[in-house]
Amino acid sequence: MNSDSLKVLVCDDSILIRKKLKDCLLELGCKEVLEALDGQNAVDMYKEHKPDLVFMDIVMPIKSGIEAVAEIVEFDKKAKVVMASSSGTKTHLRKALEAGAYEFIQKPFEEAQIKNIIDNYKKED
Amino acid sequence: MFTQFFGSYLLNKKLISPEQLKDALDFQKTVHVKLGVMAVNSGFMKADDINTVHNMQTKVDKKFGEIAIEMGFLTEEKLSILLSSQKSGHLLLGQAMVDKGYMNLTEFEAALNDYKKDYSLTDDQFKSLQNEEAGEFVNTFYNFENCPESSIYKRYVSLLMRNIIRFIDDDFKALPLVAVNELKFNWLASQEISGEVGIFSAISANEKDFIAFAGKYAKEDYTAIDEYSQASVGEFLNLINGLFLVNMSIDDIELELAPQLVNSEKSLKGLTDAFCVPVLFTFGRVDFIVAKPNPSIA
Repeated sequence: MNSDSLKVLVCDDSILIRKKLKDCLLELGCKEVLEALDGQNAVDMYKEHKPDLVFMDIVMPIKSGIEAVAEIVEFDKKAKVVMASSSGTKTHLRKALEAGAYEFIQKPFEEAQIKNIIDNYKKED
Repeated sequence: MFTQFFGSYLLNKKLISPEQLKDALDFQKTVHVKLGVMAVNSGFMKADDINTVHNMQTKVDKKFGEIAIEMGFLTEEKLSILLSSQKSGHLLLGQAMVDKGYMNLTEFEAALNDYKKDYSLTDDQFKSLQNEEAGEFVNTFYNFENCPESSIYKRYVSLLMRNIIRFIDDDFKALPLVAVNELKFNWLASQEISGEVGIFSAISANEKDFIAFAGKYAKEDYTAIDEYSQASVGEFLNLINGLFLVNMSIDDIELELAPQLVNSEKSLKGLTDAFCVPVLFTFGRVDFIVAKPNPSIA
């Protein structure tokens, strides 16, 4: 799959992180980047738009990223959710993987890490 | 890391004024560290010896090093060590203050010696401190007196200092700690860590400095407090706290983070075991606060 056909959902309560990630993904050639402000918003948007890939923060108001990824994977067993958090503790990592996360990256992330994730996704798909 | 603390030590001891420190910090970017300052810093020569060599230089057309060797103040080997040594930040600051006339070499030597004495440092410890990580400085510089959370706070603040250098600016002065039980603020980003170790953490500044700090972290040119500048300061705090959680997790202490909040024109009340860690950047002052969880913001 080419990145120019990828639809990505970015979920983070920080407008700054959403903007940085969106700019980076568009620069890497993704076709469409959607934004969700919290875990519940991400679940709703996933169901509506069925993105190819999701970048999900963990600590967020209303619904955490871990709860959101569990609901998304329950809805779509093939969902690819990358946890992107500054708090990559052993507990968070374990819970994220148990919930069905596809990958985990520690903030602050570099463009090269995002590119690597996109490249890996394209190879697998 | 020593630079950040030596500048504030001089300030705290009233050896220089805040204006002089700021001026010297600006000036040090263009300064050339001379052998005299390096020799005093290394302990190879006394300030009086330097002055003797300087006097001799007015009479004979020779370089500082040559005269110092001829007069027996230095050996070839020591001169070689000085010439190849790293011109670390506090030397630039020292030279800037000497060049500006805010201190002479004798006063610079005395300040360095007093610093070693005040922190009970041997010459070898002092040498290694100049190349050490933030943790050593936090241990010697910050004394969270009578605070049961002292060791945790020191761990937190050394992580904070390392990441200020990494993500904001290495050109700053860490001012001495201030114990606080109430804090009126202009702008404040805060976040709570909960679990076995609970910490209330916050970043506070006036509007101008809050915007400048936000711009530094986001690498953007912000001119007003908006969603982006607020998110930037909140995200820096979230980064520090996230890394703190990861470090604690390595020690099998699992903690949780609450989402960060940004408030303006309010007060922090009911603070317990609370300390303000003020940092003077070239763009302004930012206060970092650590306390026990659950103070009220009203």
